Amino acid sequence: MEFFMTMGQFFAILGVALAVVLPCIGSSIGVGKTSEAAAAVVIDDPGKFSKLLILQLLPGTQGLYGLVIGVMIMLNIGILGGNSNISTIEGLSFLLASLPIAFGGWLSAIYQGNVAVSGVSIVAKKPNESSKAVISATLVEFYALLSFISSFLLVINILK
Amino acid sequence: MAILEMKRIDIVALLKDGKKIIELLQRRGVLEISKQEEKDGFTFIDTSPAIGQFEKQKQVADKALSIVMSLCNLKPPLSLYSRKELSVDEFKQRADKVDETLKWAYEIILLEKQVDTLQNEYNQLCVKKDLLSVWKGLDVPFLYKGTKTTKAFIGSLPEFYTEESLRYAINLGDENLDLFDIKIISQSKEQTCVFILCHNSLADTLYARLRNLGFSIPEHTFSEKPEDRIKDYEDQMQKILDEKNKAWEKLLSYGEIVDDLRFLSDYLSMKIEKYNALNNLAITKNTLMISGYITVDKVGPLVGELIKKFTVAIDVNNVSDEEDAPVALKNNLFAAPVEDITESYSLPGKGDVDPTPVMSFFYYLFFGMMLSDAGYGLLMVIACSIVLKFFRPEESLKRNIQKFLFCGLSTVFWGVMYGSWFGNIVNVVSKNFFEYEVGISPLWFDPVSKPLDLIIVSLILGFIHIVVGLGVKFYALWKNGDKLGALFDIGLWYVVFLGIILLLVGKLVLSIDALQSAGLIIALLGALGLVLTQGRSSPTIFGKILGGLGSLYSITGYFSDVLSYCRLMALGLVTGIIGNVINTIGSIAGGGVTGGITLALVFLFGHAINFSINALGAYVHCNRLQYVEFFSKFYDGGGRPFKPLKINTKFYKFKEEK
Repeated sequence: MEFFMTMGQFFAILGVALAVVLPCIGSSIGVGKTSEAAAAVVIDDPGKFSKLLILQLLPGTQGLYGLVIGVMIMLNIGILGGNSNISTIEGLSFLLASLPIAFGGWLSAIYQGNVAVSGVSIVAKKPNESSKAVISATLVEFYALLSFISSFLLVINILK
Repeated sequence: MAILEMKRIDIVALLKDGKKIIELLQRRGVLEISKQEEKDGFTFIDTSPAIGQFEKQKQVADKALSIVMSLCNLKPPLSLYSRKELSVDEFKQRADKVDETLKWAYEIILLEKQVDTLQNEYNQLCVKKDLLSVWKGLDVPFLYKGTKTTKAFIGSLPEFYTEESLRYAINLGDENLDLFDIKIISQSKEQTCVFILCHNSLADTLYARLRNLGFSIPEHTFSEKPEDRIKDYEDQMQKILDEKNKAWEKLLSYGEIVDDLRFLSDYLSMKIEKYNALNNLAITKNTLMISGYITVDKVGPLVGELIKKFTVAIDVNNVSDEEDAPVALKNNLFAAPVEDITESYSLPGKGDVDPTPVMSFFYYLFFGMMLSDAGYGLLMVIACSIVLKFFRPEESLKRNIQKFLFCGLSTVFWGVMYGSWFGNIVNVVSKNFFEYEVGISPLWFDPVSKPLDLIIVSLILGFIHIVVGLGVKFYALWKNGDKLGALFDIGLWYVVFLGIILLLVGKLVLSIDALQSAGLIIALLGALGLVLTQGRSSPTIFGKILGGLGSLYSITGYFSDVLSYCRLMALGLVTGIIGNVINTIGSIAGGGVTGGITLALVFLFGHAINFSINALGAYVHCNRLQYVEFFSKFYDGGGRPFKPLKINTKFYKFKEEK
């Protein structure tokens, strides 16, 4: 039990890991799928690359949101300064606070990737309508943003 | 402002002037020609065979151009640059040369094919020569069978042998050692080429042994010695090479006519455009009829010019409501750059107001808020100004760059508000290199330390955006005569909103009970009004009540729309925090020279990535806020873009003679 009571930093770092890793996994899946689909279009028409690039990058932002939450936790527990001294309850709170972006970012990146893949065929067939494909993909991204905001608000208020 | 009024114009002219009139119209680029209706007495010109031919020629020209460009290592002209200007005389001079240029284009393609074939032949000979080169040391032809008393075996074995090891492998016994002679022609790990001469008496046994070792006889059937053959190949290769070089040089010499080829390509696309327009004309024996749409500001000049130069009868009419007239937008310098954003959603349809002017302000505002770094903004402003000043881009590219110039200015504004200059680079540099931390403090507040304030600001801005969107709808309804609709559909919602605002302000900011109850009453009155009026289109009483109650449900829509603007806060935060993270990583090596170099490298690389990802994010989310939250309040779209007959060229444009 005594040992458990000293595990604050452990849980907080676990939170950092989840917040960073899961959205990054999601983003790489999303970006990867879209890029594969885009490559097939670029073979025939290299000129569409810049339009496709926007779609390819869209599912990539979840990774960034995750990183921001990770960094915010690091800043808050003071681990970047070298010594972190937080209680187990606080550590667990950070872990829980990381969950919205961990899961919201992870899954939304994958689904956004699916939308972007369909968007690639819009760009291939009707390049003038590509902004509609992009907008459809941002509809999904909003939920990653909501997860980000809730994680962010939780993280900065835990030690207050 | 906003949507330009269209006029319908009908021109009747003499047939003999036809070509000149069309050319003039193409130069002016102000008239969209529409197809004539079929009427008795009119015939139509079918130009599709001619167009087909021009298109083929244009393909030839473009292909020749790309061959010459890649051959001579010419860079395509930077698309940022404006097209080269040609005066009418220069145009005529060049136009006289197009037949010749076309011939050259065909020749370039031919030459390229020739070079290709020659290269292929060369490669084939190369392979043949390589195959034969293992037999270079053989000084008899392959067909050599031996003398009267001896038999010769020429062939290869699939392993590495020396003379001794081969003798051992053949194993004919010591007594026969003198009866055959082995000469290794060449050897490698995979095969050994041998020439074996043996006495006739031993021939069959030897052959059988050799077969067991995998001996195979080459398929060459020519009668000269391999060495001579190889020389022969080399001669041929040299000849092909010479020929290829000659063709190549000739091709290279065509690098000089690259300008002519570009002109040819432009010339043909102009022709294709023109002939497409001809398809739409109706002609009689001596006259022709052109009809089309023209924006109202261009009617005067065009009509004047046509009457001055030709014998024509012109009729200008207002566009009737049933007609499918195209839509052209005209906005001031501030709003025009975002016309493309409107256009890529949809142009305004009938009864729509052009949303561009209202949108432009919010567009720049929101973009800046999401990118929100003064350093990035400055970079955008500088880059866009340089391009605009020195490259003089045209039309849509120019508008795009102007758009990002304004977005950049707004980004600087928000960056200053938030105190973010490439993240916190000033703090990091001053702390690491001068041991005294200074920073640029935010003009308003630091979003990282006060994120709640930022959320509230974002939501308020979003609310204003939506209210303005509804206001535009109000204006459109009012202007189109549906004044009751404007008051009921929009006005009552305004009442509800006003009530909610008073309620919130009274409760959260001022804590005045009277204000709260006043707000509540106003909101409820507004809601009651909505219930009473929103079902008015339904024929039955029941339907009216249901429709009225149902309309209240859209309050949830407004609520979620407003929430959607918290992306303004999130994206702004992400830029700032990632920027700080980059600076922190860069300062890991501390001060001094190493620290300086590390920081410089990390700074350049990190901020380049942060800038591009966040600029992209700001761009797409800004579009989304306009399309999904703003346009949905008042905008239907569905207009057809105005596509006048004009000169759609890639490399040249034409100076107008006055």
